[in-house]
Amino acid sequence: MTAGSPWTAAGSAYHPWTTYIAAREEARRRGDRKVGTEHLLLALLSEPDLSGVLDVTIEEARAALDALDLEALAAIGLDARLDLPPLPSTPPAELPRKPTFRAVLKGRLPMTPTAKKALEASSKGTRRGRAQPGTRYAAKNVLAALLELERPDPAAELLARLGVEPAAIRERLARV
Amino acid sequence: MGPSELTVALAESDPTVGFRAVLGLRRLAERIESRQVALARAQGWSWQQIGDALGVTRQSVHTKHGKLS
Repeated sequence: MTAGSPWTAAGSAYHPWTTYIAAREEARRRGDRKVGTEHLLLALLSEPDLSGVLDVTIEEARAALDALDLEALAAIGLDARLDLPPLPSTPPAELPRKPTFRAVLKGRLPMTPTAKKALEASSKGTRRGRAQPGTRYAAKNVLAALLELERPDPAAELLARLGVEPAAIRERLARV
Repeated sequence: MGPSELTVALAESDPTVGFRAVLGLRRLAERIESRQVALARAQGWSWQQIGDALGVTRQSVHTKHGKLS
């Protein structure tokens, strides 16, 4: 914990805003105006607390999302060659591990209702509500919330596309 | 492809795929916009001109795409 950081409760290195910022950059990269559950999932792929839980690289996940889009466009009769390179965004490696107010507010994008719920689940099983002193956050709670989602939720669609079995991930998650 | 073909494809598609296509089109539009703004700036357009063309204020174009150039 960094002394003076308003975000991090004692003993907990994780803050959901780290995930929010990473997810927002993924949304920006894709050209989305809202941060959705699929972006949260992409953000969690680089979360150190969850290393080894999801056996997928961020490149594979991004490619899967692009492929889903192109297929959907083709299904309504639009030429899949309309594909364009992603938009400029901050790569995961350059994102702050401990987010500041400024980093959260700068270039912020709204979240979809389901994404908001999933991120709020980070403090599940601890003290409820907003960041009170002593609130403990866990990345695994966010992932668990995402795994509960069913298609056609975008995170569920992405997991299905990647051939990831939510039950298998839940099992690994229980051991984190 | 003519308009009638698009109508047929839309009518036949599964809503799950159809909704994904809607969002895919929005994402595509954002990518095209980003590329066109960069192009316009490279050709010496002012933010005001780009804003006028897109129907938004120059401030909002600059806020959104200012990092490009």
